[in-house]
Amino acid sequence: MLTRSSQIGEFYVMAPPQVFPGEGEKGKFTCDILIYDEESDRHVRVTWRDALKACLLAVGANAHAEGIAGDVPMDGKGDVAAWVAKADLWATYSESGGSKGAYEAAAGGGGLDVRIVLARPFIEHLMHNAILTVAGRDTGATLFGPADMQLSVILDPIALLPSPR
Amino acid sequence: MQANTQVKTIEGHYTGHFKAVVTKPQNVMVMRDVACAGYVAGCNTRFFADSGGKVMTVAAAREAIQDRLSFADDMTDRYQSMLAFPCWEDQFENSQLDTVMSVTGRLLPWEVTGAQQHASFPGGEAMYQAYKVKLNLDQVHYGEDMKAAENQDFISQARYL
Repeated sequence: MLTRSSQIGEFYVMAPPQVFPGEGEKGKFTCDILIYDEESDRHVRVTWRDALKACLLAVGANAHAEGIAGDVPMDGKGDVAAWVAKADLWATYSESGGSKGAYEAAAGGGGLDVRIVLARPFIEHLMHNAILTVAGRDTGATLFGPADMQLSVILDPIALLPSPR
Repeated sequence: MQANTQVKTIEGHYTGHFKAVVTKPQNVMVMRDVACAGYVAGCNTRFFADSGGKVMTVAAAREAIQDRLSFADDMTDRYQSMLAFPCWEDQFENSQLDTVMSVTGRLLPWEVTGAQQHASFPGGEAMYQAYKVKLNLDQVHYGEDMKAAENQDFISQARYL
C-alpha cells in the first residue's frame, strides 16, 4: 500500500435553543454540544461556557486581557461586544436553566442568531492509497495477424491484397 | 567488476532503477485515502487556548498551535485540537460560511476573485484579521513542502503495511 500523512479540518456550529425548552432545569445544557473524541473513543460534551471562553474575547464575563476587542465588527448583527452580550446570557441559561423570562432576555434582540463555531483544523491520519489499473484487453489490445504474411500487388484491379505464403 | 581470464572477459554488474511512464491515463486510477492506517493527531476535544484547568489564554493558544504543527512534544505526543470563534447566523444564511472555511492566510478558491477577503471565516474579514494577529495563524503553512503538497506525494512509497 502507498501510505501518506493526510490532514483534514472540520467545524461544528453551536447554537442556543431556537424554541423555549421549558421552565427550570429543562433549559440546562441546551446550548452544549457533543463531539466525538478520537483519542478517547467517546463523545465529549463541550459546554457553551467553555467554547465562549475559548473564543478569547476581551469583553464579557470571561474577558481575556489579550483577547479580541469588543469593537471589532462582525458580519451579521453587530460587533464583538453585541455578540458577547447575548452569548453571556446563553452561557448562564445553559448552565442553570431558568424561567421563560430568562430565555426571552437571551433570545430577544437577535439573541437567537448567536453562534459559536468549533473548528478542528488539523486532523491528521496516516492513510492508505491504492492505484488501480485495467488489465488484459481492457488496456487496449494490440492484435497481430499471421506472422508469415506477404504483400503482392496485382495491377489489373488496382488493389493491394495480402495473401498467405 | 570481475575478470574471467580464461576467456579473456571482464564482467560488470549494474543495477538500474526504473520508473513506469503512464501513457494512457485512462487505464489508471489513483484511489486516495481509501483506508486509515493510523491516527496521528488533531481529533480530540481540547482547546488550543486551554492552558490547564480550562483557563484559556491567547498565549497558550498561539503556543499550542505551533507545538501541534511542529510536533514539538515527542515525549507525550499529546496536542490540543480545537479553536472556537464567534459568529452570527446571518453568515450561514448568506452562504458565506456553509460547508468550508479557511483559518489560514490562504483564501478559498471562490474568495480569490473580487475583494479577496475571508468571507468564510466566522465573523468575516475583520475577525480574521484580529484572530490572525492573536493566534499567529500565518504560521500554519510555515515549513510546508509546497512541491510535495502540489504533487500530493506519498510519505512512504511501495510499503506493505
